[in-house]
Amino acid sequence: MTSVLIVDDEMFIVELYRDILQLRGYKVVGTAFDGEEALRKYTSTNDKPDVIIMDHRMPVMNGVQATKEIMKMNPSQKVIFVSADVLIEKEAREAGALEFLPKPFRMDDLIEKMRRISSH
Amino acid sequence: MDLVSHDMLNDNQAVLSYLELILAMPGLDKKAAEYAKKAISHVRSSTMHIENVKTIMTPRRATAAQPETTDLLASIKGASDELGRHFPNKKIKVNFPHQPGKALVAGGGLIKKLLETVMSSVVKLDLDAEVALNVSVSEEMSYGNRCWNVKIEDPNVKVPAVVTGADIDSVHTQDSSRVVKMSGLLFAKMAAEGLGGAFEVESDGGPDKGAVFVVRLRRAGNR
Repeated sequence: MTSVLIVDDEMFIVELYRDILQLRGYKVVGTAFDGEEALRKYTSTNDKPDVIIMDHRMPVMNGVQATKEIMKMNPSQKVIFVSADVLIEKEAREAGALEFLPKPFRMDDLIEKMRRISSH
Repeated sequence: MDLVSHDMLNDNQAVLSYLELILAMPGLDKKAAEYAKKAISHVRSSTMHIENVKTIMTPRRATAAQPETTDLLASIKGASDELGRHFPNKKIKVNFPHQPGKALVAGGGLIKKLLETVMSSVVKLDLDAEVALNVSVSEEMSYGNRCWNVKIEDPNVKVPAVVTGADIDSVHTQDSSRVVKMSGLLFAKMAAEGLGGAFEVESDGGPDKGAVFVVRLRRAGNR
């Protein structure tokens, strides 16, 4: 079962992703509400998530910065960047994100990206 | 505005996804599914308005950079493809005869957004479950400039008097119900004129004429 770490500062968005992913058979192994917390959780576990769903605009540390730091630790980490800021796509991909989804997206779009990224 | 729109899009994301989860429930009542699809259509519309406001705000911050060139025909195709997402409760067919070659205009991603807004505005006027839009492109000279004319037509609907009876330019001075009905068209006009073109309601929806909207865009590289 594909494991997922969700990083987003909006509690209701985290809950939403969890609802969607669990319904479609994915295992949510952790959540973080800012980039720094994501890094802390990522570093402290040996069992790295298969996929990270990363928001951009968050307090303390944003998604692009957090993605860069995670890629330094594990360049093969799969990250799906999800943001309402479409202009951030280029930066997100340069930081290491394999996929980008602009909000609001369709549930099937997220699942399609999850499938694609998991089969890489 | 940037922060507010960001939060609004997050809220729209949640509403959209929970509606999709409802639609995915086995044995869902047919009427409930229909209502959920209509609600999705309104979330999409709300998102489009938020994006349009962001777009209108952006040039005011930007420097005078040359707008990116884009293919008008591909933008029409892209905007047509988005309509199914905007209106999951309707069957929409866009009749756009394939035209070989390219029709270059300046405006980058704004062109698709502009056309998507106009097409969505036309579909909103059509209350039928099945909607057919006719889209055509022609060349013409306007004030000494070579332009592309995009005509978007729905022969099935009338342009409401609230639109034809008002001057789009003075929309901000009018009552709020009128502003709500015209915001998409106001955006179309601002965006087209911002690119050196124009937006017009060619037909006022008289008998057998339907709704006809025309977006005029200057050919790229045309001074």
